[in-house]
Parts: sequence; C-alpha cells; structure tokens
Amino acid sequence: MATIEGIVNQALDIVGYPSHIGNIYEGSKPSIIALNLWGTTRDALFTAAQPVWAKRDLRLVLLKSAPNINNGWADYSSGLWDSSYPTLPWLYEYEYPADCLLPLQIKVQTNFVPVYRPRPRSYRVSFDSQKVILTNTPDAILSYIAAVLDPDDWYDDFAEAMVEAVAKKMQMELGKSPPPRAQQQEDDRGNAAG
Amino acid sequence: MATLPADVITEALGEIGADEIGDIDDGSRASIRALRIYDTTLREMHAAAHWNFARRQIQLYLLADTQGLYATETVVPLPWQYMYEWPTDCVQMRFVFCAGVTAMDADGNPIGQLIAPFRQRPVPFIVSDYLRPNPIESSWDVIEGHSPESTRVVLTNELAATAVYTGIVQYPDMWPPLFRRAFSALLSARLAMSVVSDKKFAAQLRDTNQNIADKALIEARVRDGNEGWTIVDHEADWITYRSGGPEYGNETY
Repeated sequence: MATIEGIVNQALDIVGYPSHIGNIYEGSKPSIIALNLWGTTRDALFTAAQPVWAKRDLRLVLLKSAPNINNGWADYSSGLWDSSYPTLPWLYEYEYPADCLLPLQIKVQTNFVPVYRPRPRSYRVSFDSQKVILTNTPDAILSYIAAVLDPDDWYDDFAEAMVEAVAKKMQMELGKSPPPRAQQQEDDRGNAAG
Repeated sequence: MATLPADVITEALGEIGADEIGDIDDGSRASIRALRIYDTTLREMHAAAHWNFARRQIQLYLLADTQGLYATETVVPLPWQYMYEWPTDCVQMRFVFCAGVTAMDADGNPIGQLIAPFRQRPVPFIVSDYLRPNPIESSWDVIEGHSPESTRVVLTNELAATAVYTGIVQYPDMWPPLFRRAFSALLSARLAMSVVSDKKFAAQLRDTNQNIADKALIEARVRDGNEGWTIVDHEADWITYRSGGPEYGNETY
C-alpha cells in the first residue's frame, strides 16, 4: 500500500539520509522539506506524465455566455460587449474544474455514439477573476488531467517516478555532500595504491 | 464490433511507432492531432479517385427552374435552365445524365423517363457557388457546400437530373482494404511530425509513409478500376457526339 510517507522514505534512502519519517506532519527536518515540495512535485509530475488513469471527464459549469446565441452565432448588434459576456470572440465561459491540472480536450455530447465523423472543438484557458475555460461548444464536457491525491490510487511506475522526483529535490538539503574535488582525487589515488 | 475511426488512427500510429489511443476523444496528444486531420484527410482520399465503393446515384433536388414550372424560384445563372442542390453527402460530382424525363409530378417525381436498360448519356453541368443563404438555425455548419451566405449548387439544362457522385463513406468497415491502407498511411504521414518527438526521424517517417500512401493509392485505383464490368462510368462527350445519331442534332451545347 503506497503512502506519502512511504514514498518520502524511499526518497530519503536514495539521498542517503540516515533516518525515516513516521508522518509527514511530524515536524522533523525531512518531513518539513517533504511537506513543502510534495504538492507541487506531484502536480508537476502529473502534468508532465499525463497518466491515462488520471484523466477525468466533467460537464463544465457555465459562467457566462454571449447574447442571443443561435446555432453557434452570437448577435451583439443590440449592445456593445462588456465584461458580463465571455471574452471575444468566444461564445461560452465555463468554470475551471477545481481538481484540473491540465485541460486536454473539449467534448460535446452527441445524440448517438459511437461518432463516425469526429470533429475537433477549440478552447482556451483564460483568467476572469478566476481560471476559466472559453469555448464555442454548448454544454461542454472537459477531459482533463486531475490531481489524484491518494498515492494508493497511483500506478506503480508513477509512484516510482515520484520517488525519483522527490529525491532529486531533497538531494540539495538532505543528501550526502560529495567530497571536494581535491579530496576525491586523493581518495582515488589512495584506492589505486591499494 | 464495428471498426471505429479510433481503430484506424491507432493503425496509423502503429505505423510510425507511436502509442495507440484509447478513443478519439481521450485527450492524448495523438488523439488531439488526429481529430484535427481525420475528417479532412478522409474527404481528400474520397476525392482522389472515382471509387466504386463510394459511388452514389440520386435524382437531384430541384431548387430553381427558369420557367417556374417545377419550382417557385426562377433565377438560375445563365445560360442554365435548372439549379439543383448539391447532395449533402457529396465529395465530388462525377456526372449528370439524361434519363429522358419530360415532366415532373407535384411531388417532384419524374414522368416519361426511359426504361432500363438504356444508354447512359451524360449531359453538361457545372458545380457552382450561388448566393443562396442557408438559415442560421439549419445544420449548414456540418454539411459541405452550405454556409449562411451561399450554397453549392449544380447547374444543368436537364429536367429531373440524375447525378452520379462520390459520397462520403464514414464507416471504416465499408472501405475496401487497399483504400484503408492508403488512408492509414496518409494519416501516418500527417501525424508523424506532431506525434514523434525526434523531428529528424519524424520527417523520415513522414516521407516514407507518404510514399506508401501514394503506392497504395495507385494499387487501390487499379483494383477499383478492375472491379466490375464497366471500365469507366460514362463516355467522354467527344465520343458520344462522334457516335451520336440524329437525336443529338438539335442540341445547342
């Protein structure tokens, strides 16, 4: 069973730290360092690796829409654009899902599946007091990489990559310092002399 | 289970050593790229030859008649007499032929047409864009040849014109094997640069798969040409005129 502490302890072994942590909130030096880097490292790894098991689909929550939309056309002729509408030239503005690390694709619900004439749907991530998603697709569904928080849900290869990533970040503060260059050369000579 | 577009894309990705996709909407880099090019590439392949498997024949829908006998609209670009709607599934119009229709009933059904078998005689026609707006609420956005400003039309002097055209066949199980191979190789060539990270290698893969696609296309055309009894769908006009009798004498084109 994979745990945060288990992964941190494996990383500590890699950097050669002499002891393990019992809990990430215990307050020891390695636990404080691990706590600082855990979330950002995990999210960065999810974003880079894009594991298939972390993909989710969610029907987005509509925040704003352009006026008088008729079959993909908005009619602004009755008034000027203001911030109550989505950024031009988009038709819809949706809420960015809270657990979304990386939006991948906008889908539309079709009446029949499977779809034999697939068509791409464009979108853009933007900022409008909060992170939002702009698209021209009504009732949009977003496929995205979600933050899967529990390491027990991770595949083993991802957990292994996380150990490596945590160890790399811990190396600076907790790792054994390599001996100075001159010292190393002397050691090498000593070893060679036998 | 029927073959899906995602299966064809996976086949194409396999040719360039890329990972398969789960479905065409799975959000992977490969699926996003494939989604952009799938439909256009399929249409391009359909237009590359007069494929037997995509041959369709229908009586065209009359939009306008200069005399106003069979349609309320009477404006037709000169020098043509009838204007017909471009079939919604049409990729390429092959020819329009004369079925000897002398009139149409109130439902638009032909009257007086020739009884089979008869000699198929092509008639002049032209595909044109006409300033005939489509309502915004219609499905113009998913039908080739339709826009809010204009419509692609077929102009001819033939009443109740019957058209033979290449229709889009969306279902992979309907494609002949060689067409599928050519399409898959073309997809591979187009996906290589965006899916394979080593761009030098990707360029080689692209060129290799483009060559495979070209050769497969030639093979597919040959196979298609050898299928069936007829070598060509219609006689060239100059042959028709050379061998035609008095029945062609009064025609002005």
